[in-house]
Amino acid sequence: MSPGSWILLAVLASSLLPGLVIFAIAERRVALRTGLNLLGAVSKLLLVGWMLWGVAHGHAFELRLALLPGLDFVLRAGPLALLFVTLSSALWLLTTLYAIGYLEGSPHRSRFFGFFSLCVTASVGVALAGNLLTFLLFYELLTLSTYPLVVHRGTEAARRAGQSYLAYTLTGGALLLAGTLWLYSLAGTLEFTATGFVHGLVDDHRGALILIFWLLIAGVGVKAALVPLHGWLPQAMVAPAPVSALLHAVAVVKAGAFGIVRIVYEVYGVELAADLGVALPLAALAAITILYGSLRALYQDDLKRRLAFSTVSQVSYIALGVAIAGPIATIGGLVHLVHQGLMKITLFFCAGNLAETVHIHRISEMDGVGRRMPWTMGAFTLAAFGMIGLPPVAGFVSKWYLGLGAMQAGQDWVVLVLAGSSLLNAAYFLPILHRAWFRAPAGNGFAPAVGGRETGWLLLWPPVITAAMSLGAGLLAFIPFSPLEWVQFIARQEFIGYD
Amino acid sequence: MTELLQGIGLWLILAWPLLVALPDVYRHLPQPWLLALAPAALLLITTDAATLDMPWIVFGSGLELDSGRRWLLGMSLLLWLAAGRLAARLDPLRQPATFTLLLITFSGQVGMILASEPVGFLCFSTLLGYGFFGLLVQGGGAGARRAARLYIAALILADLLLFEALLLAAYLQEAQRFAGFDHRLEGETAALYSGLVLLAFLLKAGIWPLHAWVTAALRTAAPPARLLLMGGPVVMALLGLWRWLPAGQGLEIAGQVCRALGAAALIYALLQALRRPQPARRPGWLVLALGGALLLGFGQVLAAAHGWEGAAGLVPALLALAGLLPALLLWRQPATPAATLEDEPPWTWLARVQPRLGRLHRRLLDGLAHLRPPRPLPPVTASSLAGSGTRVTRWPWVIMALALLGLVLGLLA
Repeated sequence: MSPGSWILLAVLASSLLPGLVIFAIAERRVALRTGLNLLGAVSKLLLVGWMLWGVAHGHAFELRLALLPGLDFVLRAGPLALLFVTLSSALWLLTTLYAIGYLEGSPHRSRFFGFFSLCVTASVGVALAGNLLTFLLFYELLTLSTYPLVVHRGTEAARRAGQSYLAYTLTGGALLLAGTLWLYSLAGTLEFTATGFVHGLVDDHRGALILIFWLLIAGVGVKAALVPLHGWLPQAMVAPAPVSALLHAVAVVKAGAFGIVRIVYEVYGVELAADLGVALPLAALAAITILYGSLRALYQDDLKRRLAFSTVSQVSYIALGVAIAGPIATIGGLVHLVHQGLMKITLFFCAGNLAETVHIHRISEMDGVGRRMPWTMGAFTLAAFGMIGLPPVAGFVSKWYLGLGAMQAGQDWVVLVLAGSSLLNAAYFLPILHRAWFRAPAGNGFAPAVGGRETGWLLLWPPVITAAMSLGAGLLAFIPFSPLEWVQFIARQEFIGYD
Repeated sequence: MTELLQGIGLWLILAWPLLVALPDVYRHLPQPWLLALAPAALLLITTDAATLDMPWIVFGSGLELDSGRRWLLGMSLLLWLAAGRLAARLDPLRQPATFTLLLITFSGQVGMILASEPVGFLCFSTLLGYGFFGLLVQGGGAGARRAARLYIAALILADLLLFEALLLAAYLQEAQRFAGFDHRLEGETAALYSGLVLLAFLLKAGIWPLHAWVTAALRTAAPPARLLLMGGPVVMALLGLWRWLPAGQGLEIAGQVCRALGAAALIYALLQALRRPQPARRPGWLVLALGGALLLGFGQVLAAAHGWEGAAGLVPALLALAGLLPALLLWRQPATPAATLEDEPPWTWLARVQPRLGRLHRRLLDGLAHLRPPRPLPPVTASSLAGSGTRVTRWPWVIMALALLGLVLGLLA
């Protein structure tokens, strides 16, 4: 094996091995478990940094193992894969820190962190998959490793949410499997390539290719929460806050969105998708999801449910950017993969802080909480501004490129969708901020902070850091290795002639 | 070396107030208010001109200080110093949040003044806008909250319109970054761009007939917010018009709209000042009148193809003066309790005017009747009534037939 192969295995092992060991650790051995968690997260981040540097300088990282006759297990670290891997690894470290603080003293922590590590391994595998089969394997592993986290609390609501999650995602997995098998039977390969690998089939199997496209999109669309396949996501909000963060920003929803990117770009290719007439309906579906999610979010009093519907809406920006099919829109969609992750994880961390520290779960209970928890609500405010698309927070950059890309592709209606979505985002985020900062607390107010700190350091720092990253990703959009610069690097590879 | 120091100075006057705005920092500094504004004052005194290019910020930003911007910076310093004095007299419980919001708005205001390209301007405009919303709400009363709600609605709409305008301009110029961005557009696109920008900044400035939040805020907000209203959001929105629209390019329609709205705002403010001369309402009328006058002048410049350059240097000075005038009037005037002055949406004048118009109309008819003696009506006879009933009952059928015919023709077409 070449060094390039070893590093790919090492990236997977950096979360898989600690996860497996953690399962066997006794509940009381907190220091060992924490040490293993952090060792895994930091080493993964360092390895990913090394790969980023290598790919930026033209090195290739690939691992190929024979799995079935004619089918390999392939891991490959291209620029697109590294975008998702970097996001997952960076946010995994922060989520681990947060989860350590959040679950302090609660039962079944070894089980929780074991599955937590498996979940991140699976999402990194999804990102690094070099063909549709490897993608499918990790995609299903992600489903199975996330289920125990959704039902972690063990309540009736958690079990119901878990059942719903399994029903949706396993059905999605089955559709993905069906599409993959059908495609393999036609093409004889499942290897991801920069401009897709099904061009040669279009003359003889046009109808079949269209059907397979929708099977694959339905398969990954469940995790990406495309309407009407989104029902599991708001229900899964009964899980602890770190799991919500994981679902919405690090792993599950992102894996679905990333799957859409892979299918459109590296299975079909942008031009073929447009030629088959599937790109525009996908864009329309994404637009409907954007508006529907925002409209549903307006009426939720439960904070996490409002954030969940917001995710339904915001993740479809990625699908929209991809489906519009042009270099600028692609930049908008792909960069939103990172930006949405940063902003949404901030919001979920903050929601977790409010629940854990002052026992607030509903928006109607948030009056005056900004005075009690200024740093948490400051981070929340920044992330909410980003979601609305206010400059210079990261969401503005995504919306800018999506809008510009839509105009470039002659899809002016998308600009109206973006404007409508921004209005709705403002309508469901600004009242929260108004309550938190400008209303007086109800009754006797909140319990005072202990030791002058609004909450524990491990709960406070992660949202503050991710909020700062959300601001930094927008404000410093053009510095080297910024998400935007990296996505432009990807666009230059996907679209010949784009500079 | 001097350029480097000037660059750091330009950064510092934006970032330092934001740092001091953090309550933990503010609490631990001696004379924090003066310290927060000190870099801006120092730069104003020591530097005539400075520029700073920041290609790595947002889409390529820049800051610039020149003679025109110095007027506006000076005005802002004076206003925020005065607002700080007023804030110090507030209820001690409300002071920390008010000082934080004042510093956030100061940073936004100075950023808008110094920004040399539109995206930077928009970023700082957001900071000023949301900070000012906070200042309005801090007033506490129902009237102030209502004004704040109207303002935030205007702000969100305006920001969306500006976003669309920028997208349009960037798409047509094939620019993704704004260093060296050119506002000059041609043909229908120019009209669309101008329309979007014009509407956005009129919403932000609260010019008649979109002024409901301005008059409500001037009556009911806390004193620091009222003091800053003209020099802050209103003047900065007018500055936005000046910066974003291409003056001297002969934009006839946009110029006419500006002139018409400006004149209407002036007349409205004057009429209202005559009708409702209460001291509490005067600042509102003054702000509306000043806004209208500035818009009128701007419309003139916008429509002009030549000869406007001489006036260009005057614009920042005029804006600065307009920002200071209402502040002088408001300096010692207490806020009027919301209960004594009900807020009025701008269209209520219709309801008040309607009965008067009715009376006027009646008088007019009476007058006309007196001018011409009535002719005697023709006598009603049995022959004149004969057959009239049949004719009247036929009319619905005729109308129905015509409607059906129209429908059929429409469908055929």
